[in-house]
Order: sequence, then structure tokens, then C-alpha cells
Amino acid sequence: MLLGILGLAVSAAFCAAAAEAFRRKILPAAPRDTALLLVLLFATALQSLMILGAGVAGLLSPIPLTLLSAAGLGALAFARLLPTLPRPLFERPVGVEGWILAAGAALLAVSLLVKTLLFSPYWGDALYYHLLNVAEWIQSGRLAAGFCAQPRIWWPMGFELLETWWCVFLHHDALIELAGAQMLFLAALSIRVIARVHGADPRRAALLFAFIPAVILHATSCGNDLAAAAWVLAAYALAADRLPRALQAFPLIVSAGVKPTAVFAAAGVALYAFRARPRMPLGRAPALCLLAGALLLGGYWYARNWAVKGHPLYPVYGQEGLESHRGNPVEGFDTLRGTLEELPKRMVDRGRYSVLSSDMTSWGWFVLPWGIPLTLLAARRNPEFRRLALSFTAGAMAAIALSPLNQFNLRFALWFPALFALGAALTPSRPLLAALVVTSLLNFAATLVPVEIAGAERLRPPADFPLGEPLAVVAGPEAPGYLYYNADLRRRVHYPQSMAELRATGARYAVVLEPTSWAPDAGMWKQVARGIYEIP
Amino acid sequence: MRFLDPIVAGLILVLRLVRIPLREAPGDWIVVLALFWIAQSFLPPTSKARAVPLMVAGLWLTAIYAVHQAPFTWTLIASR
Repeated sequence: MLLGILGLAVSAAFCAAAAEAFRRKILPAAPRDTALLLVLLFATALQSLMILGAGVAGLLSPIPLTLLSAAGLGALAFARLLPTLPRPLFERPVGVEGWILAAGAALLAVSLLVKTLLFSPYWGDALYYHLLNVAEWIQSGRLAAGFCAQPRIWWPMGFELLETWWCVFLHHDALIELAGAQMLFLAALSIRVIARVHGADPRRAALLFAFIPAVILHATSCGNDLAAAAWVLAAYALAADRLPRALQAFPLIVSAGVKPTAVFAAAGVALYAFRARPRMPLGRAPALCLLAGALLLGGYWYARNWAVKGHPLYPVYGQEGLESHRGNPVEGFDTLRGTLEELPKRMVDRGRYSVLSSDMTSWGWFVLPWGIPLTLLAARRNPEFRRLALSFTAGAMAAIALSPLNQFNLRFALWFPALFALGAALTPSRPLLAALVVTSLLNFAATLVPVEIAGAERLRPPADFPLGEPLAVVAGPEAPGYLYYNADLRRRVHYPQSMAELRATGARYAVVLEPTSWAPDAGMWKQVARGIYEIP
Repeated sequence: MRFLDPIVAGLILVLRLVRIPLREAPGDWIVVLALFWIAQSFLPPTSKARAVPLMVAGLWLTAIYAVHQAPFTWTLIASR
């Protein structure tokens, strides 16, 4: 464990140092918040690239990654590129409002850290397919694919690379939620930059967004919607600051590997970016370097699916594709029209805040009552902000229109409520600060313990079941398989689709979740623990 | 141009009132936003009185949101 912590620290130091060295090389005089945003962007990309490279090479384990990071640090030191310690990241708060906002940020940061340490992954989609990849990759030491019949494991898994980085050194998922917290930090930093450019209060804007219930819940859900939102907001921020086009494109290309819905939002970012020319050029070499890294991270999954499954957009297209996941943007604008028709009801959030936010937005107590009126006012008096609002709206509409229609589809534009945080932050006033504090506390308290946790705990194997005993999952393609790997990700989990495959696994016990055509009497086998049966 | 704002907001208000029963209008957030927009457009840009419709709209919308969400927020907080 100590070696794992050391490896994690060395790798984190290498990613941060290399990112800062690259940032200084291409933009030595960037404003403080933009510089920090770029470092976080580059460091995140580097973390993901390390896992991608090691995974493809079959070297996905702590020792090669630690050695690679140490060698990278050494190379930076040898080339005299090792940056000195940065200036303090955060300024000392000024005045009562400054201290209130700083306290809010600290409260959120501490709560995320505590949740990371206390929670095990609990959210449906994460358990059903996102994290299965993380567990299988770490167990096999490579980017394993096609290990179960669930087609959704073939989605782009860019965010799972980052989650793997947080797990691989410890061979444990104790810190996995920090990947989501990292994405929340990236989103908040991006909003700070956009707010500064538009003359809004950066701290208010960032905090308002960070306290939206959907955002808080997604930060620890291990799903990829917040990650997609963070990359989209980063693209908006770099466009707001009029950085070179290659830099503006970088987050959007990377986001293609996180979730295609982020790419759909590119329409809005492009509309906004082309309002003004970049302030400065970028050399050809760094631009090519950026685009190559982004294309690797964004395109790997599509190339893999093309090579293995015959279609880059598998599982939505291609053989045995998931037709239900196709949007129908042209056929009567079904998705967009349906969502807009339901929006009046969804906005009032008639239900408990949850990650999926079925038939609701989970945008919380501030956005509808205060955020929307203030945004309307801001758009009315400020032409620059009006352009931003129009581009946000166009991007969100494109993201919704190109996605399938379902009750949960507003999470595909989780970045959109940032517009209301920015609009509200353009009106500094004490009464509004009071509304911000009260509504943020309500949002925070209502999301302290996600509602999905209880359901996941009921399905988890009992604590007294032997940790190293392999398990076979007897179910259809839909099964919360991640629950069975253990927190240390060492238990072998098999996903047979016939009795012959079940026997071939060599497992003695099976988790029986539902009767299947090939094992209709599985529920009658000898039960050895809650939900676990001895294979006859 | 001066009357464009209230005309657009008025149109939204009328269209919304056509779609929902009149008794539901006070609890409809689109109606409240349209009224807020109309009130704002009739006040001079620099008037301090502009804060009044904002506060009224904000509190009204908070009440609408609370009618639907407060029981769930209370359940989530009380169950800790």
C-alpha cells in the first residue's frame, strides 16, 4: 500500500510538472486562472494518456507506471524544465463575502473528500458497464475489451482512464471518486475564466455551479456526464479567453473519447469561438503535439470499435447495435421537441434529487427562482453575455437533439446550467448573496447521501463471503457486475452466457440476478449467502 | 424597438395561458417569468425600482419551486 501511495504521488507530481512546463512553453504570460485551467487540462490529459499507453502495451500496473513517471520527472529535471513551486493557488479571501464563498468552497471540498473515503461506487450505469472496464483493465494489466455481453462496455471510455489512474497504483477503488472531483474542479475553474472574461464575479459563478444538486451528485457517481460537461466548459473557457484555435479545439477532441454528447455541444462552442479572433498564435510544433494527444484520447475508442466490431460508432450502429440509443434529430425533431415539451414540468423538480434525475433537472433551489431571471436580465443588458447565452442554448439544443429521447436526457447537457450561474454572478448584491447561501445549503444538505446508495448496498455480496472466491454472474446482459470485484479489485468475475461457459469458468459460486433461458432453475440452486448460489 | 421586449414576453404569456388552465397560472414559472420580463421592460434601464420585480419574481418562483420540491428536500434532509 505504501509503495502504491508513493507511485501515485510520483505520477501526480510528474503529470503536474509536465503540464506546467508545457503551459509555460506555449503560454508563459497567461492570466492566473487560465494558467491553472491549462495545467489541469494538460495534467488530466497526461494522466489519461499514461493509462491508455500502458493499457495498450499491457503494462497497466503500478511498477511500470511509477518508473515511467519517475523517468519523466528525471527528464524534466535534466532538461531544466522542472517548474518551481507555483504561487499560492488561491488568494486570501477579502471581506465578508470573500470569506463566505471561501467557506462554501471548503465545505464542498471536504464533503467530496469524505464521500470519496466513505462511499463505494453505487450508481447504476457505473456498476453496469462504466466501472467493469476499470476493474477488468486493472486485473488484466491491459485495456481488455469484450469481456461480457453488455454492449455498453463498448462506449468510449475516456473518463474511465482517469478513474483507472486513481485506482491502479493502490489496486483499490478507495479514491476512485476523486476522478469526478477532479472534473468538478476543472468545470469550476473553467467557469471562473468565463466569468472573468464577461465581467461576472468568478467566485460566485463557480460556486453556484458547484452547488447544483445534479453536479454534486455526478461528482461522486463515477458516471461520465460531469466529465463531459467539464471538457465542454473548458472549451468555452479557452474560447472566452481567445486562446489559439488548437487550444480551443483540444478539450472538444478529447471529450469525444469521454462521451459523444460532449461533441454534440461543439456546435455551441464553435458559435461562440468564432465571434472573435484568437489573441495570439500558437507554434506549429505545440499545436501538432496538442492535436495528436487529443486525437489519441478522443479517437482510440472509435478506431478500436471499427477494428474489432466493424463500425466506429458501435454499439449504437453496426451489428447488434443498440437502436434505442440512436437520436432522431431530423425525423420531426422528436428528441428536442419532446424534451422542450416536458421541460416546464421537469424544471420544478418533482422528486428526490438523484444522479439520473428522471423527469426532472436536479438543478436545485437557485437556478429556477433566481438564476433564470438574473440570466434574462444579464442577456438583455450585455451583448457579449447574450452571445454566450445564445451559444450555450444552441449547444444544449444540439446535444439534446442528437441524443435519444428519455426521461434522463438533461444530464447530457450538465454543463448548461453554468449559464445561469454566470448570469447570476453578473449581478453582485447582498440579498442575492443571501439567496445563494441559503439555496446552496439546501442543495448541499439534500445531496449529502445519494439516494441510490441503499439500492446498491442491497446487491453487494455479504461481508462474510470469501473475498478471493471467483464469482460467475448469472443474468442477462444487464447486471451490476462491478459490485462483485471487491474494493481491492482482485476477485475474478465471469459473465457466462451458457451452461457450458459457466462450467468453463471454473467458478464454484454464482450470483443469480434473474432467471435466464440457459439456467432457468438457477434460483433453485443451493444458496450459500444472500444472492449467491453454489453451481451444481 | 422599445416595445419589442414586452410584445415578445406578452406573446409568450398568451401562448402559455392558452396551454394551461387559468387557475394554474399563478403556479406556472413560465407565466411568472413572462410577467417579470414585461415589468422589467417598462422600467428605465438605470432605475433602482428594477430590483423590485426581480425580488418579487425570485420569491414567487421560490414559492413555486418549494411547492413541488420542498417535501422531497425535507425527506432527504430528515432521513440523514
